[in-house]
Amino acid sequence: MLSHFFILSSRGDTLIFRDYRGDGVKGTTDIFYRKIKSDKESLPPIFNVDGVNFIFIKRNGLYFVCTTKFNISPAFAVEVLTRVSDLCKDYCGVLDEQSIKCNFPLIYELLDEVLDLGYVQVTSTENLKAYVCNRPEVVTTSEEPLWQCTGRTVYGTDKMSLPSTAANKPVVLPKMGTRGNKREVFLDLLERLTVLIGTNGNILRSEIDGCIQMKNFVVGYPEVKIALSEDFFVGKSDVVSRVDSVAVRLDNCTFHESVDLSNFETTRTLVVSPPEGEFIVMKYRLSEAPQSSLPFTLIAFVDENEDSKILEVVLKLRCNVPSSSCANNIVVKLPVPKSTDSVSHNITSGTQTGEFKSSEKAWYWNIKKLQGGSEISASVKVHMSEKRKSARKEVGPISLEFEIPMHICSGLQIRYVRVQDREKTHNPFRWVRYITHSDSYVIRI
Amino acid sequence: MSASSTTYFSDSNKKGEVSELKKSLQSPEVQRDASQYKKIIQKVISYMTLGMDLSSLFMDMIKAGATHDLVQKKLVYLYICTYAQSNPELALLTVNTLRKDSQDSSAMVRGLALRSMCSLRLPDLVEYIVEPLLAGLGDNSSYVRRCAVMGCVKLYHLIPDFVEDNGIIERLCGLLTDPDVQVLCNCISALDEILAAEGGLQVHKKLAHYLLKRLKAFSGWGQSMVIELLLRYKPRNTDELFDILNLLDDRLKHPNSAVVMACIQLFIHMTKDMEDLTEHIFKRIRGPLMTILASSNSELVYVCLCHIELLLTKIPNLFDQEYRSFFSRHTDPQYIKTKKLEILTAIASISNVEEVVTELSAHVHDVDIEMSKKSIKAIGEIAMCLSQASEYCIDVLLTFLSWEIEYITSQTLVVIRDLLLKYEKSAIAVLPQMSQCLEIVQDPKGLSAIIWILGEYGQSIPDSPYMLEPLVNKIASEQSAEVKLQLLTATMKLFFKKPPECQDMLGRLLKFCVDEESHMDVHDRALLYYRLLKTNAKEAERVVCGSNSKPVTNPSNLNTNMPNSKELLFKEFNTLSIIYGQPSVHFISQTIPYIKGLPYTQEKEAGDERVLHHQEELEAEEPILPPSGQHLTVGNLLGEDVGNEQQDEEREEEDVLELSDHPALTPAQFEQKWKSLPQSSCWEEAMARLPSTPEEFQQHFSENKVAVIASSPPGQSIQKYFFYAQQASEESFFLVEAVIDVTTELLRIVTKVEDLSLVQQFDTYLRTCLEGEWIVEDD
Repeated sequence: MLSHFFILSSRGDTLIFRDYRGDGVKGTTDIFYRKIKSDKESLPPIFNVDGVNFIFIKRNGLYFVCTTKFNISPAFAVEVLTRVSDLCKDYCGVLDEQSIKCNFPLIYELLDEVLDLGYVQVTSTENLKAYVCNRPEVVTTSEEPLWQCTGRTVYGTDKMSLPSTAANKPVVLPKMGTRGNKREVFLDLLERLTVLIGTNGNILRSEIDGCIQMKNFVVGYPEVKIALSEDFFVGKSDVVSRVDSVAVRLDNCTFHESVDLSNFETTRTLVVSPPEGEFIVMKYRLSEAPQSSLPFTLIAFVDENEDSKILEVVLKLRCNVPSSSCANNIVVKLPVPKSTDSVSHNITSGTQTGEFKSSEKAWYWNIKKLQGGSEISASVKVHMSEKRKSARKEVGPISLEFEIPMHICSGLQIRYVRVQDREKTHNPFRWVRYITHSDSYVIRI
Repeated sequence: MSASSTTYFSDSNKKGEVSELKKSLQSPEVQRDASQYKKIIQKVISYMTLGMDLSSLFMDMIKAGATHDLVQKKLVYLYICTYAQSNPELALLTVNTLRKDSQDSSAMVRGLALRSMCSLRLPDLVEYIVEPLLAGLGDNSSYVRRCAVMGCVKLYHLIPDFVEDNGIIERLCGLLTDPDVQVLCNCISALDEILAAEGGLQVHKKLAHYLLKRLKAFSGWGQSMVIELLLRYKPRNTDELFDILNLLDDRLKHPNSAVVMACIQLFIHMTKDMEDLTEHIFKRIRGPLMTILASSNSELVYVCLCHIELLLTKIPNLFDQEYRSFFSRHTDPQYIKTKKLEILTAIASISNVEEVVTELSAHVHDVDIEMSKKSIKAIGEIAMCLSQASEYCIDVLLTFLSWEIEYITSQTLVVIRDLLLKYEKSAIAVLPQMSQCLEIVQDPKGLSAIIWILGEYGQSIPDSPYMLEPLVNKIASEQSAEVKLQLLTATMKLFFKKPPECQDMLGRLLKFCVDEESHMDVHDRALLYYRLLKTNAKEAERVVCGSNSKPVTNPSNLNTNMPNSKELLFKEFNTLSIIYGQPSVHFISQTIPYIKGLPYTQEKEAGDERVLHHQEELEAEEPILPPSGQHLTVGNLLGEDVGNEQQDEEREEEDVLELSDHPALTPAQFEQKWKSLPQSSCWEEAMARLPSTPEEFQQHFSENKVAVIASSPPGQSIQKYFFYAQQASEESFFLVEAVIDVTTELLRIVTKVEDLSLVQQFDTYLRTCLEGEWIVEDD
């Protein structure tokens, strides 16, 4: 019962527009964009203008929007939009303005099949392939990938490394594809950390949201076996007494429809018959991750001089992951008082930079790479225009952003991946990648 | 189109672009070169996307449609469907191509042709489409059948009679057993829309069980739709109910949150009359909600938070254990942070209050000032609701004052003032801080709060008169009326407490406000005080310092949960109503004959609306046809309802004033009419009794064919209602404004009437309606 669907660029250009029911008002794209401009950040993803309900999601700077005049399920609408954006990514390889512009006939084709009269029809990447005739235009990004992912040599994996963009290709390959018609399966074990550490160093919150994401380029539902760490346990900690012998504990996990769980209890093996394209095989959650699993410790000393207009902050950052791994692109954000004029810093050396952003009133410490087990420090002098009692209070909380390739905080591991092709003897390639990154890693000081 | 489209081409050469395209499309050279031809067509579509009017290319595009290239065909059909309505004559030419395609050997072409044909939205062409459509319903390919089923609905919206003439309902019912689940899903959607006037597709036992059995074969979308459909099914007994719940239990783990939410909705709905189960059910759905909450999809998290907020109004301690999940992440978008803040306020309890308040205080120095203020307010609200924790909260609030940041201090003072009304004892801790605050605060709201505190507790602050004095001296330069009013009252109060120190100051203040003040409220209040003092000082003290002088805190601060509206919201769980926090009647103006997901209990009401819809649509689309019959062929629960309506019609009097059973007016139309029409009558009556709820009052009107369009929120001392009625078989409306003054118990009616000859009759009619029930009868 969706009336209109459209994709807008962040500048408000209409990239795609489709009217499904003919019951909408004219100019919904303009109404939408005006609202976005006037409400900015605080605009909730669902709003109503003159009886027309707008539901939108923002992905990679693009707005995926639908309108309806019915009192539909909001979760449903958001899921549909998410699915459409995923489809665009599956079919175009990457999701950005350029790729949508280049592939608009293809996207119209998709939209034609995904929705009819505003009702959802076919949405699986696999099934849609039959109806889509356009070939995708691959948009090559000139930018070098930020870091080269080194696919871990798990048993059965063939090669050591691939650029991180290797999986950014459409499921339907262009005729003149650069990588050829390779039959590959990519697996990502991703974890996002939400950590909050109180002023006294207590962990107020430590959550891990993890997932195993698969991008499959093998047609015909191959049988993929994913073996996970044998010693992991699902359930709340109070069910089992906190025995440390259980190495990995998860609160709960959910699986994709294509996963066969008959061997899960005994051997911790998932048997997947994956559709083509990208999807999440397994999602899990751990709400109280143990302290030992946190990848960073940050200690801050704030020295407040009674009379001077200078605050001194010393930060010590230690990376707790094993020394074989390292954290990349670490950004430490230190909010400073609103009356700050300038910030001078003294940082050890090399790959680190410090930067004061006056507009945000925050000092940024950028660290390209930090080896596991090592510790670095920075001392920062904050010069303020006036002296306020509250100055000390305005410093912090410190937030951290980072990526840690090849490390998983919960300890979950993929023992091996086997792909059994149903038709041919040819053995498809499979790639495994581990990444932990920050969702919200905040330390109060 | 938005100015941004100029990035593609500037306005000035828009015309040029179109004629350029036309030339290219007609050029034989281009037509010979297939790939270039296709490129031009792509260009047409991309300009169409930008909102340019390309209808003049219609003829050339039709020609381009005669191709075997499927990609090109699809683009051309997309174009044709978009512009068919602006070229109705030319559109006829495409029908031939489309009909031919509908017999193509490829199922994909057949489906595409059917889908496009039905999307032309031209009633005149329906006669050519019916035959291929009926053939499509029986096609071998499930893909073609899917398109054909949806096509039936499209044609139904154009010409409702098409359904009856061709026995579509029977055909669709037959397809409910189709082996392809998507065909089955489409059939359900189609029947639901076509039968909307009777309350949608009726779910009897057989259908319910059949759908449940096949449920797992459906896609996530289909599952959520079926589960929502089951809301209309009433299990025969509790055993059956439990069977259904058990069967659906594992759907709560489905990766598609649309399924999970639909399932939760069904669980709540089915067990709503079984109070012993409620808690159990709510505990069961907690886990799935927490899973959605952990998703990285912010929009989904927002939807989930809105639903949790509603659940909390019913079971406040449902998420006591999970309160940490509602702490904001610094990466959360603003709308999520705000929502989490509201939820934290609601779930704060004795067991977690310290941690929640610590979390909220962390947001007080958020970069975003609004966020910071909201956090302070939230702490205030927690203190208001949890009296055991009030001292702790007030202590925390007082620490904010020491930061000496203006907006924080100001907002904190406003909150503290409200809290002092409830927790007077805390004044001891608050008062010593005032003189320092006075130096920082400039904002009128914060300043008023300090002044109020000084007036109220002046006797306990040694310097209080000397703190007020500078403000009194500066009164001429003070801009805010709020501050001045507060200053007047505070100085008066203080005067009775410390007369020697205040007399002179009060005199000056009154003199200024009476003689020179231009703001009416301030002037009048000063005059009132002056006269009071002149007449009787003792009496004046009683008036100004009496216990009633404390401002009543805004009730919305304390408790916004109007039980009635929340109940309404619960009925609309898992719909947009929850996001907006108001029942759908307030924002759904759409009246196409279909309202989704209405549980069976609401059918009667909804049915009426749909009928109204039905009529409106007929008028709007002008297929000069009488409203189609009531589809009584299909057994439905509403049978009796239709009968009632007919009786109503028979009962109608042969008067000149004959009100329509279903007046139809949108809020926008109402507003426009209300503004443009002169007032035709106005009268006032003492009320016999006050309505206990606004609904009670409104219902009385709607029973008398006067529909409500808007009303003020309940609980106010002046209640406003807007009603309207419509002269049957005419476009003439009666608009009514009813104002109830709760304190004086007076009802004031203002009417605006389009047909002036009926003013008298309508007034009499209204009076008769009101008499006996609401107003005292005229003798």
